[in-house]
Amino acid sequence: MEDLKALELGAIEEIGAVSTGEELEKLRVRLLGKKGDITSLMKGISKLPPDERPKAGAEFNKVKVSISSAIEKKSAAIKAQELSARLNDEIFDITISGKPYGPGHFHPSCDIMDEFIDIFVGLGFCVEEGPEVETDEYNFQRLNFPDDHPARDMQDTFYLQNGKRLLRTHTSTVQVHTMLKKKPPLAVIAPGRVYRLDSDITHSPVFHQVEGFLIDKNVTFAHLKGTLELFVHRLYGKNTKLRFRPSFFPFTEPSAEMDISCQLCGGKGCRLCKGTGWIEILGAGMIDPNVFKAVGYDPEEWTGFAFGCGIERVAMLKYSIDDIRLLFGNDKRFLSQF
Amino acid sequence: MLVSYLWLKDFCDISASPEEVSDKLTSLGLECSIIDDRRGWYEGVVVGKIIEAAPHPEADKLQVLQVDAGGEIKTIVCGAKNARAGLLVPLFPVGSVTPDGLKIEKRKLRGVLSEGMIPSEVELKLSEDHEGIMTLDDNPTPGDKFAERYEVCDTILEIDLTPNRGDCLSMIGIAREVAQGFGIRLKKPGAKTLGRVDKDIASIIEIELTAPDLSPRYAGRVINDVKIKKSPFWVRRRLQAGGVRPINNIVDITNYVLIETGHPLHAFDLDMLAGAKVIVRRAKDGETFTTLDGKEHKLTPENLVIADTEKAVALAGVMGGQNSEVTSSTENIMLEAAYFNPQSIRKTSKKLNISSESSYRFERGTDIEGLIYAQDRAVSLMESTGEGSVIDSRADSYPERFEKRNINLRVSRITQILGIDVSYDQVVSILKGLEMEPEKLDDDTIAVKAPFFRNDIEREIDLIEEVARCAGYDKVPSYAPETPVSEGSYSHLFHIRRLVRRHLVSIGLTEGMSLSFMGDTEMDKLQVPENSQMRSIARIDNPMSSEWKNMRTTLLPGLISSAKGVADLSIFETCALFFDRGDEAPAESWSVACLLTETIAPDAWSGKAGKRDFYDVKGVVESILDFSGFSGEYDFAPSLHPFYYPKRQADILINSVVIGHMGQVHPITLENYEVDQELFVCELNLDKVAEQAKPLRRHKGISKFPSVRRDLAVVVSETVTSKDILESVEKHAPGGDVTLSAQLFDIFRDEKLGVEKKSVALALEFTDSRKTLTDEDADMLFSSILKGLEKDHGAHLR
Ligand SMILES: [Zn+2]
Repeated sequence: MEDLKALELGAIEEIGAVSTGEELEKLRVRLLGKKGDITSLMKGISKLPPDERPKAGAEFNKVKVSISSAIEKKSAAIKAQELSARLNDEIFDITISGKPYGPGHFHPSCDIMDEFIDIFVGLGFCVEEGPEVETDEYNFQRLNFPDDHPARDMQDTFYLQNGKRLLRTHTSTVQVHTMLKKKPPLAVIAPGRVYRLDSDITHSPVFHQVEGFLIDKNVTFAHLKGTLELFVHRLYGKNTKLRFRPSFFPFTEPSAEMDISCQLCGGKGCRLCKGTGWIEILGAGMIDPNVFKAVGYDPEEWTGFAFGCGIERVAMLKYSIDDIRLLFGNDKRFLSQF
Repeated sequence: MLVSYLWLKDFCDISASPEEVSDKLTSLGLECSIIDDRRGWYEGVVVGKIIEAAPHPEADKLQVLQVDAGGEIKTIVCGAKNARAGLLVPLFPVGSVTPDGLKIEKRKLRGVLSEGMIPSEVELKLSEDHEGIMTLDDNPTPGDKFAERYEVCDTILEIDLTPNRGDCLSMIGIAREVAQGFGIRLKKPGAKTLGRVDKDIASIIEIELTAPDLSPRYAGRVINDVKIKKSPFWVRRRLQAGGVRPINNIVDITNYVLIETGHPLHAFDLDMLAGAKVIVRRAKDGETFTTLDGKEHKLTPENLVIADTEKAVALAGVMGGQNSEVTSSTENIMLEAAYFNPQSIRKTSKKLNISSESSYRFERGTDIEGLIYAQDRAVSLMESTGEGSVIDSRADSYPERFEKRNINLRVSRITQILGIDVSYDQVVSILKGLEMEPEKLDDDTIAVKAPFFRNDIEREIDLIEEVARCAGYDKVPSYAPETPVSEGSYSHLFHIRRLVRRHLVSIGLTEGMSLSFMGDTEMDKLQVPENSQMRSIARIDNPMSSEWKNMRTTLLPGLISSAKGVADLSIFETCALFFDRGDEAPAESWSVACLLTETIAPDAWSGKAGKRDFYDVKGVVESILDFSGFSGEYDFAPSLHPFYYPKRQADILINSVVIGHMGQVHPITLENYEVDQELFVCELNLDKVAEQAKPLRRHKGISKFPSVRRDLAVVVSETVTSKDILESVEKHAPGGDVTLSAQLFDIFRDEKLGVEKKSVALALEFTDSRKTLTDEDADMLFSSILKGLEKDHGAHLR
């Protein structure tokens, strides 16, 4: 039994000293194999008196289990160590480009339009759309552009069918269509294509606008400011400042133009904002009573505000695009940058 | 509108800087910027008097001048022909700097030392006049500082005026806004004449209004014995500041007063008017008239003319005639000041395509009462600069006096529109600053008379806007409506469009965008058949170019063009298309089109360039429809579009409705667009997609028992389609508790299979919902399907 104790202690020590899987396997065979040390020592049991044999057998088993478990533990430790060494010694280049899985690219104008619309839908506005081919009545008369008024010069128009129809010059036409179709209160956001006879590096004969309007009882200019402030803060961040300047649109009164503090210089003045610190971003105002009258709403009962924004202009400012034609060119080299 | 800052000071005592004035005007709704700033210019420039002019000893074209610069005599070598003794001139002494940045130094010119430079008006940037040196009028003293003696260090503001503010097309109009903005008083310059000739105007000229609806008022004054010459410098300088080219003293004064008061005036050569009569009448149909600019116009009764007893002498309010213009030999003047109907002026100006400073103002509405002041102001200036004698009386025809508009303004309504509280007194004070006449009706209501120069003030809301802009938009608080008015939603079509766009981008296509126009040749280039709906084209009456004459009926040409010379492209566009319907409005429908090039750029990993084919675009179409919720509800049918390969194309159907087409672009179409690789495209009508009802989906239970897979490869004739095979498989599926899913996974062609034969491999997967299928079960199911294929399509096991 003394020998057994010594064997166990020796074996544990030897196991602890082993450093490779091969050595450990050799040691296991030497200790636990059929011709191993324990087996040979166990042969001594038969020489013991029969009544001591069960006790001795149990002792042997205990030692056997203890040695095997030490070997197993050691084996696991060696494996973990070897794996970790293998993984850590590897040389790998993480800078090679990833394998090509989509996605493609959204058009910058569409992307901005989506962003606008989502913000307003989140504020309870509903998306409405209208036709792009319109009549003078819907594009001008019902929006309080009188015949032969210089206000008509603000929007050079494409005509169809010998002047009987025209390509809408603004998405404000959706105001008229929606008001004729539905009763107030209304909160509508209307994106779409519009057309004006104008083409140079900052004007395209085809461009996009997002028009929004809200009609309810007791809607004021203060609500217009508050709504647009919320919008601008969601789009450009809380620190963006707003400025409203009086302006003129036939279909709103009072009318305003809204500037935001220049995103490039933070309002200090730079080339983009022409030194003013402000960037003009949209036109707005309180819906003119004549527009309400033209659709049969009572302007004493209902008031409302409207605003309209040119999307390309916002895209050009956002991405420093200096030629609007790039937005309509379907040029892969341009589109893949977004 | 160009505004001279120094000129503004004639009308109000401004202490604010040009920058402050600009900001104030912008905040009042007159968008303003500084475009020319001459503060600090002409430093060191003095008035000089040429006391001697001698020829240069060494050069024929030069003179040596002795110039009195205020006590000091300087020698100046000068090349100008007009330099002579006695002239008063500006002088750049040594050390001063010209507006172009040239520093004046002592320098020898052909042996004579020159001590300065006498500039031309061009060198001073005061005009385009480079005919010799500038000479000074108004008798300055040698040594006077040029910048102080003359109004030359000005700042010019440019105002981007909105069309409602015709009243601000004048210095006085702008000054009124400035005065209101800074709370200072507006003063108007005098209009008195000196030398009065007491003679009855009626003996010289008589006015007859035959169309008072178009010209409610016409006034004429006469000046005799004028001397036509160049205007004094201060007049020319101010005209140039206002952007008007000086012509002669008489015409210049009409323009000067036009800029100052905003009222257009016209000077006739009185001796060219026959019959001592001015008749304001509608033109005769077909009457011809030659305007000042030498252009001949054919008129109609829609156009108003000023005429004498024989002929038209002016196109009323638009432009004068050559036959009566003021020339260097003019001696007597008839000065017109009139009010013309704005719509009528605009019609004539548009129809005849002439726009002038006059027509621009008349069509925005002028001041029917203020025209008298403008006329008198001009006459007084003509008298002082033209040395004529003014006839004291005026011929004035104004048969029906205009009344000022009466508008009731409720202070409570201001709060209702603006959301601010303003006091009664504050409102009254703002209105008075704008020369309105407010009168108290009751505690809430003010009766307001708007002045004639504010044509845009017609209703209560117009007055509210005035209050708002004068109080300042920044005074209006900002708060969002407390509760949303509606729930916020996307329309169905908008939703589908966005779904499709997002899906296409996520599978690797790029979103493009192009103009909605196309040229006349596009349909032929694409090879669209004569009877196609794509040929129902809505045409633009006034296109900008031949490429933009028509509204698009398909997105394909734009996409195909964009593939020219591009190695690897996968792009799509969504946009509305337009189809002509005769007299009705064109039909508009939303379309999505995709384009894939055959070539795929070699990928960095395999280094191999892949190729796309018909099944790539078909895959795109299927994924669009699956993603939009039409899984299993769509179908493809052979089609006959000439712009595709005859066999490599299909119509796309949902619930048997054709919603689009796809195919490989025909080689001739490719050639027409100069594209030198194969293209695969599709175009879907999104309105029709949105209209189709989506199937109601119910889930099927998932079997607890494993399924068994058997691969089946059969040889069939080439004419048997994949669809034929799958339909046949489905027909012979066992049914009951067993479900079968069949998937085609290989098509193989080989000579050994026989002529026009192919081998089609299918993966069949059987699942029983009640038990585990045994091999024997599977074999049996397999052979019943094989038998079916044999029977339906003559297939045999490979
Ligand atoms: Zn900036």
